[in-house]
Amino acid sequence: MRIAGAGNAPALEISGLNVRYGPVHAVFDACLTVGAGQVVALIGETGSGKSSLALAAAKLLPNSAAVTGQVSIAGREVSGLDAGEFRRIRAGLLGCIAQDAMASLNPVVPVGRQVGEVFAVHAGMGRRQAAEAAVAALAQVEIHNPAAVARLYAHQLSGGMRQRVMIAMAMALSPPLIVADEPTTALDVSTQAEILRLIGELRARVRCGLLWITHDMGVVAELADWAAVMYAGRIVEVGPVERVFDAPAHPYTLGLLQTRRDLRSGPVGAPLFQIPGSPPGPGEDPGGCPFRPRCPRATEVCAEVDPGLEPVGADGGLASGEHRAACHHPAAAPAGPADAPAAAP
Amino acid sequence: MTAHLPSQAGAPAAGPERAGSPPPAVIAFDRVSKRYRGGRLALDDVTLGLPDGGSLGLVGESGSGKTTCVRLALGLDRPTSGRLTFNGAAYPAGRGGLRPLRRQIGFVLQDPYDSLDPRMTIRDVVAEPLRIHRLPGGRGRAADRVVAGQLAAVGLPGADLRSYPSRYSGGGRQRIAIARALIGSPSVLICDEPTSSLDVSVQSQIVNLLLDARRERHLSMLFVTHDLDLIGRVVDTVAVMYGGRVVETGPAELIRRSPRHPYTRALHDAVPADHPRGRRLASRGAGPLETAGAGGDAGAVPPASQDEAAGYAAEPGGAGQAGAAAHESCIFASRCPRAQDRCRDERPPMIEEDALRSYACFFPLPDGAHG
Repeated sequence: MRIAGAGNAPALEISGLNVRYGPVHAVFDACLTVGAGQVVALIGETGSGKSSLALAAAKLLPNSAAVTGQVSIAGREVSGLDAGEFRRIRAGLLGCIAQDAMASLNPVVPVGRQVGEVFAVHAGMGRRQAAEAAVAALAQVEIHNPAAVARLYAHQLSGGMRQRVMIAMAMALSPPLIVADEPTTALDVSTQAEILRLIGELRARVRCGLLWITHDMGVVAELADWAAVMYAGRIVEVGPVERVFDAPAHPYTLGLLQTRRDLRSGPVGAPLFQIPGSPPGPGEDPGGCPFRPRCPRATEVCAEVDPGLEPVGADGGLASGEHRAACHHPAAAPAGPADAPAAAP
Repeated sequence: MTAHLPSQAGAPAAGPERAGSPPPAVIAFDRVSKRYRGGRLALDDVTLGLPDGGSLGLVGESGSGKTTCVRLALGLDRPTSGRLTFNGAAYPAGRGGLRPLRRQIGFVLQDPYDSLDPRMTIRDVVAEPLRIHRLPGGRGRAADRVVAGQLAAVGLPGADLRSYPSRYSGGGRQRIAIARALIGSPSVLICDEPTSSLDVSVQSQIVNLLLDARRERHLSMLFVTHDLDLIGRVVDTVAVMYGGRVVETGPAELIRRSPRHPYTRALHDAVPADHPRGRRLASRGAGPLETAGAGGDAGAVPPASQDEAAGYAAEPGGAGQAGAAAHESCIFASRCPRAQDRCRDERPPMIEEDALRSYACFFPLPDGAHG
């Protein structure tokens, strides 16, 4: 079902993407590439614009959102297509995995038929053939006894099983791109571990690009080839995941990493490491760099100029421009705790 | 059977019976079970104590029974069997009887979007406990002053008292909930997943606020979460729950560094890696429970996924859910890499390793704390 000519084009290429909801500017000039078969983690907190960016890439935003910029999936420009045109080709281009599988699955249709529908509608299969393909798709996501599970309804499945069904649907037609919006956030930690393990195994068998939205640096560490960090609607840092973990250039990235490291290994009863302050609310623009009010490195220039995404430290075998950050004072070397935003008083 | 805390069936109060016992408990569960209508055994013979001035953390996954413990501790539900006491006295029946006891308890719940009445101004929300308990400062001018002071103490100085909770972000609402919890000067603070719906950077701020409040007001704190890392940072003593039972209790540091129960270990191993070079879940091979027996176990290990899949036709949530027909076995046996026949035929008692630490396991992991 690959779109002809997709070849080795990136799974997703976004450039100059802006999303506005009325006066609220949710995504600023975002550029992001998901290489063929690669996993890019899109990291951010509530209101950072990560979901708007991902939904814009999947052309799933409502008409009330004003979207400008270029989006290509597997080399095919989709930003210019109207809704009807895109709907016809969407299933072959991308799959989506939502956070809340219960809300995404139809409660009154057995899950096997919902998976089969993808094959019937988009691959033109007959009923029996689609049902068989659905069972095979459920087996692919390591559901044991898939024929029996196919006959069950969403409410009869555990959260982890529902998410497996969602993954089976998203991957049904082997699309070049899958957009996953916090698919493990609502799951128990052991179920999350199983889903992460499953994704790791599927990656080895199925070659699709994955844009994985999360706020959990642990999930990023487990899964991603690349990390992109969003703050206040901007991508503030992007790079190969090991590089970002070793040498976070943006103070916000550093703060997120420091928060988790401290939570995992700090002493019992001691205050937790915290990034002071809070992000700007929707539509709030402090001027200059949006992280400035919370930033220990901020200087005058940060108040005046909103920094663009620029290459940092093109060394250590990294091609120039692979690791970029939007900061006037990016950390040059692998940063230590001393450089982190101040802990709570 | 689960006598790691002094338990005397029929005695008026659970008192210390040997030298070096922990201090008397403010809230004590003594062999408490809870069965909801429909037959689900949500708590199965749980013995726990929140020491006076101390802190106790309950950690477990969904269906482990931790929220049932909270409901019982708040007096919202009554135990089906066993004895539940507050400062040595049984929980009274009825709303009127509970009122003086509830005055002693402040609580912060998971979802600040749900737990604050959207039609009440933040002044009325925060002052509500004062009105309910007929304490000074519940009404009029006095309330303005008391509430403003309380809001300042939780990091919302100068907040508009006539504004509504909808004006605030998740973190702001949780601060309001904390102000309400503390305004009646309770002696006990109960927190049920207080940060799990918050962003990472906000979680630290809220936890630090709770830790400060606890220290300044000498509160006893019951803290419930699914997050093993978080629980290890905020309480002195941790109880790990699974399927309605307590499977291990001990000092937070030991639970973190050297778990003895295989389930505690599995929980640790399910936490994602700290660094991409240390990834262990998404790399091919071992699942979390397969690595659980790192103490040199060989043998077939059921990965959680298989168990989960095998249980597809069972209740939603399958594994970890209370009420399995496993009363006379170890509740974790079907997922446990160390399980042997005995675990399936016999329920492991709570074994007291020392005054602080106990676990319900016939084949505990070796104690690596001193290594």
